[in-house]
Amino acid sequence: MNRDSFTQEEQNLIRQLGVAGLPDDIVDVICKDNIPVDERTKRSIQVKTLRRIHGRTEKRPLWLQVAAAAFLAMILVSAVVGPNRILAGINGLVRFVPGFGLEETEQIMLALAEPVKVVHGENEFEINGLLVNDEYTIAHIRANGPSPDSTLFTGTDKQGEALPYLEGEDGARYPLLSSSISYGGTAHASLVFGAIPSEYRNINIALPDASEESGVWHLGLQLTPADELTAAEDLKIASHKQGITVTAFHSLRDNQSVMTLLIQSPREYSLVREVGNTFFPQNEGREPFLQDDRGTEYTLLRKGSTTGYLSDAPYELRFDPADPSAGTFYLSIPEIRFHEYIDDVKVTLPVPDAGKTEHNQQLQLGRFSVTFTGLERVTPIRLRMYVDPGPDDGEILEMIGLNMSHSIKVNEETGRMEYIETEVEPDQNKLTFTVGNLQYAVKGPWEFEIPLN
Amino acid sequence: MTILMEKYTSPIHMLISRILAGVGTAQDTEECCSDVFVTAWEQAGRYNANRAPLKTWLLMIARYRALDRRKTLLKQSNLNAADVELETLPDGADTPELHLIHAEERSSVLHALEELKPLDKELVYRRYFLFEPVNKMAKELGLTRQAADNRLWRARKMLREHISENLKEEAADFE
Repeated sequence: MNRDSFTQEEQNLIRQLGVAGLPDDIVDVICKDNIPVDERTKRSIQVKTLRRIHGRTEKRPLWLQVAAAAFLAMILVSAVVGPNRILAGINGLVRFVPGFGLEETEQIMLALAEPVKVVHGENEFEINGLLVNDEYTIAHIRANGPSPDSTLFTGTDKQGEALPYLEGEDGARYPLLSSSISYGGTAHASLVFGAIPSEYRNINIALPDASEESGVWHLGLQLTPADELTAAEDLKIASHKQGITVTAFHSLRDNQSVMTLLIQSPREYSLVREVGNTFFPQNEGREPFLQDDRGTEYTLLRKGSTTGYLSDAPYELRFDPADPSAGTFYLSIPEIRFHEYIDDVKVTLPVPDAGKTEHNQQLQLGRFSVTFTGLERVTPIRLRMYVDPGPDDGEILEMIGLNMSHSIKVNEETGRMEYIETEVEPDQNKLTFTVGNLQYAVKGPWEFEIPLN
Repeated sequence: MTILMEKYTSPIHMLISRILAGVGTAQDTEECCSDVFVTAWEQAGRYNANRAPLKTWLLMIARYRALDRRKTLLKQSNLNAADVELETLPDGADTPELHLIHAEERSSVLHALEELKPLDKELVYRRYFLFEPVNKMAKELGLTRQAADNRLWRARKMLREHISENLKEEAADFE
């Protein structure tokens, strides 16, 4: 027998263990040294999967569609992270958690309802957010003082007990599980403790202080049940254009201000690709613009987009903390770019032997009507297909995705497609391909006046 | 679905990478991840939240898909001699069938696993949930083959005792 074969005794154990499915912590235990998946890979998997699922949706028997819908409804109630129009509309379960953004109440138990500032000795601590779920408690704290460094957060008390720890209102202590601390000007810590009972309303975070006799001081915080936090739908700082609603929330996170945008589009299978337009960086006025009522302009950094079902997507713009004397933000978003998946559309075009020929073949791609106006063999093995992407009704079709290698020429001034090029065989007289996705920009502007607390 | 992917792509990718380590490419891992979500979409009606958390179900699909792909890749590259255990698994051990999970027994197994020391736990997870060869694990964890075998033997003994004890306690509580 091979030494790596399982004995009968082992097979019996595997059967017994099999009733657990998989242990909840299996990834943490066996992949502790693995690097988390990068955004590019994640995106690639998502795009692949969406294409496959979308391709199958039309072919699914009714019972499967019903099952999938039930499954989706279940997921929305049990596993959503981030905003979702359906969820918010049906259950009102999405809440805005300061320091974290939009969260779904089924996933959190308690949170800090608003940021808290506490002065201790010569140091000022800002607790920008604290969230409790059934697995852990996480707090984002920023500290300012004469020497802001990690000693403001970690150390030991006079009895040698490790700090920080979290203390419940019944005196139970929850040790630190992990932390991330950075400093330089200010110190910033993300502290993770174990989960605490949902009945708690008051907790203390025990932090080091060598000047105290005990070597410790307690940062007291009051927590609020998740379902009592402000509902996303109640924030009402929204702007509507072209059927797309954008809602903006301002909060502090880490050592930055964060503007979380909830983008709701009625178009199915559309994903937000970009808020603003870096596709044409030479064109001014296409990027988001933020200033306060003191006239201070803020440089905005984008923080990826998390895609949501049915086009709802949270998107973050980060910037330096607001001028303390400012009372209002003015935010303008001139345009938003989307990626949309459509049912594959098959196209067959004649390939001229040489030179350019006029052509007039219309193609319906979702709601966009595209016309192939000419075909040109620019080299013996390269075909150019001239394209008219249709009228500009506030939406510009910038790119289409073909199932073959190709390049697209886009007019840099107008953003409209001009032609597509691909390789052909010297003796080829017909070209067939499919179009499966689109990239388009929608013009706003979406404008906001956001009071600063 | 995008929400589901946003939340679970990372753990699924990590688990699949682990199972395909040394056998598959990054492309295989990506395709396998995509298979997991497509399977979840197609088998949505089979999920039962009372039996196991959603994440567990998705990871079970991921394990099943990755083991299946691993087997295929090994066959293609004629390297399967070292992995014959994949052929000798008990029925159902590498399927994502949620109906095999019984809430009480699951709880008893999970409690028993919690009693293991971290290194033993990793050995048990890799050997009895992902079916990795002992030599490979021993090498990666800096153990001799003998030490890994001994640890697994002790872990099995402890698990059997704890699972049986936990089930007895739960039965007594029920009465």
